[in-house]
Amino acid sequence: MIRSSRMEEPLEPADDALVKRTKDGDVEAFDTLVVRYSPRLYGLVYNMTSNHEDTNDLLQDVFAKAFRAINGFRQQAQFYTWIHSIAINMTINFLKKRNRRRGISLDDVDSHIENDPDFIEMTSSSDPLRETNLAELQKKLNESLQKLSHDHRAVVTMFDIQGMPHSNIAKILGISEGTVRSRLFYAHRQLQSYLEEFRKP
Amino acid sequence: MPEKTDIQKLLRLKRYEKPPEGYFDDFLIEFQRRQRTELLRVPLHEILWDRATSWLDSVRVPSMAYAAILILGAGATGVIWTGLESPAGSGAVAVAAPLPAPAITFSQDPNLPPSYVLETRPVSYESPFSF
Repeated sequence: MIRSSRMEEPLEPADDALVKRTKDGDVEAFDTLVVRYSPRLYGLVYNMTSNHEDTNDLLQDVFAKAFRAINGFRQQAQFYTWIHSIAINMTINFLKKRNRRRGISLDDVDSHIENDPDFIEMTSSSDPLRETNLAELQKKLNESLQKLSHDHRAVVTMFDIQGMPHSNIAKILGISEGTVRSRLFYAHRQLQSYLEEFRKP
Repeated sequence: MPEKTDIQKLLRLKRYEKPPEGYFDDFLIEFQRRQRTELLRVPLHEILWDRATSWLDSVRVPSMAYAAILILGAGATGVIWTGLESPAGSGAVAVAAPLPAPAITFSQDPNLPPSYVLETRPVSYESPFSF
């Protein structure tokens, strides 16, 4: 086990090491990667689909595909980028085929949101938007996100919700950083127009 | 019109949408279960082939043995193939027609060793000019 020199705390094995062990037949190493990446990828897929059940099925398929393909992963890219690329491509393909009438199935909002400065600021003003019921706001925001194109929704999810830097998003999607910024600009503009109606009293 | 920053703040709050507690623990268990199920769906011949190759790896068969097995296998396949290629009955073509059994006369006394008298003259006794 690798230990940090400063705190003498056991360090988690690096992705590269886990990938190598998986290639050598250590299935538990891949389980560690699943545990490490499932929360991040859940957020990505969930915010793309706005449906918990679809997210669960897709995420299982993403890891199954990654496990089958890991021997072909040459480690020229980071595992982080590779697994995110698989997830985003599978999700976009899924959304293209999904029945449009499929409803939204949202997760509960964590109670920690009440301590978030942005939440406090947005719910303590007299602005109509800020007085809105949180559940209603959540629903409206998700509906607005669903109106965006898949490509625009992907960049909004990764940048605004997951807080990824432009460079990482560009690598995952295989596009330039300029294209990422451009897509974000148009996506924000569209979201503003969708939420405009919601602001009217 | 809401400011762009408001949109971004709202989007950021979506991070608080979380799956039920314990979901990710169950997720791994479900993943492992699906992997096992997928393994069971592998065709039988693939499983047998994998087992055979792994068994051969474990017994450390000398490399020449593979060549011998290959030659034997090729030979057996050739024999079987030849049999399949020749229709039933036509195999007799390759077999020499049975010659008439030479007439043998035994001596009268059963206690004496048998003496064979050929009714035909050996070819070697033929004159080279007799044909």
